[in-house]
Amino acid sequence: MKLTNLQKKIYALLILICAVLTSACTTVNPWERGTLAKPEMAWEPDSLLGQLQEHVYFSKEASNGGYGAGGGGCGCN
Amino acid sequence: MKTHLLRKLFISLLLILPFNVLAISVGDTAPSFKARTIDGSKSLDLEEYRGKVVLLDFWASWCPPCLKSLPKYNDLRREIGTANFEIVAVNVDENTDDARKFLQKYPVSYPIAKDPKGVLPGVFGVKAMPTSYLIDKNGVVQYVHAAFKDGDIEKLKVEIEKLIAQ
Repeated sequence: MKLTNLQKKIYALLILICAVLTSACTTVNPWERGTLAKPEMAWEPDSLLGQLQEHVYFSKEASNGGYGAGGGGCGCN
Repeated sequence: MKTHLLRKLFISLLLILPFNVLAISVGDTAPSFKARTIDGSKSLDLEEYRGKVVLLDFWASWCPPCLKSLPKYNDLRREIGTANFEIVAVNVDENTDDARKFLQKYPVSYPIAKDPKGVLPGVFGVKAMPTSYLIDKNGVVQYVHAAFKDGDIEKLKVEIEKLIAQ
């Protein structure tokens, strides 16, 4: 089945609309990070314990890093 | 056909552009606003402070640097006086009770508006917490300060005194 030019345009437009509407990513604005800043949302709730575990891991595996970026979620660090 | 494709590409790019590219920066007139104060007792209007140098501060109780900045701003206001200067704060906590608890611990004397829906930081295009805008007597933004570190208050004080002297 061969599509006419008008049909092609309609399909292209539909694809474009779907692409825009199905976007699943959103930016959390700096002023909306109240929930993310809660202690229970932290990857490592106990920083001392986290450092200790990192040290043990480093000593056993002779490798370091890969623990994510620093920052408390407020957009200020 | 090429023109059509380009037009489509342009429109789709416009749709995905983040709105905060329109952030308020130095040289822009500060958007005027009215908001309820944090205790809900009255309305706070930025226009009322026209003729004074204003430090407009966006803060939240969950923001660690705000623990430092609020007491420092309060001291700065006491030091400079309110004849030609005022600090106007906007709290962006989703739950204003958190801010009230914070203020019981760290009380300040300057007026604070509440904006639990975060409309005003969106209008100003705030990029970090806290962010403060130094607005001159004519309502024009002259300095934008994001985050807060030790020593920042001295820099701000110099800028404020420069604007008061103008």
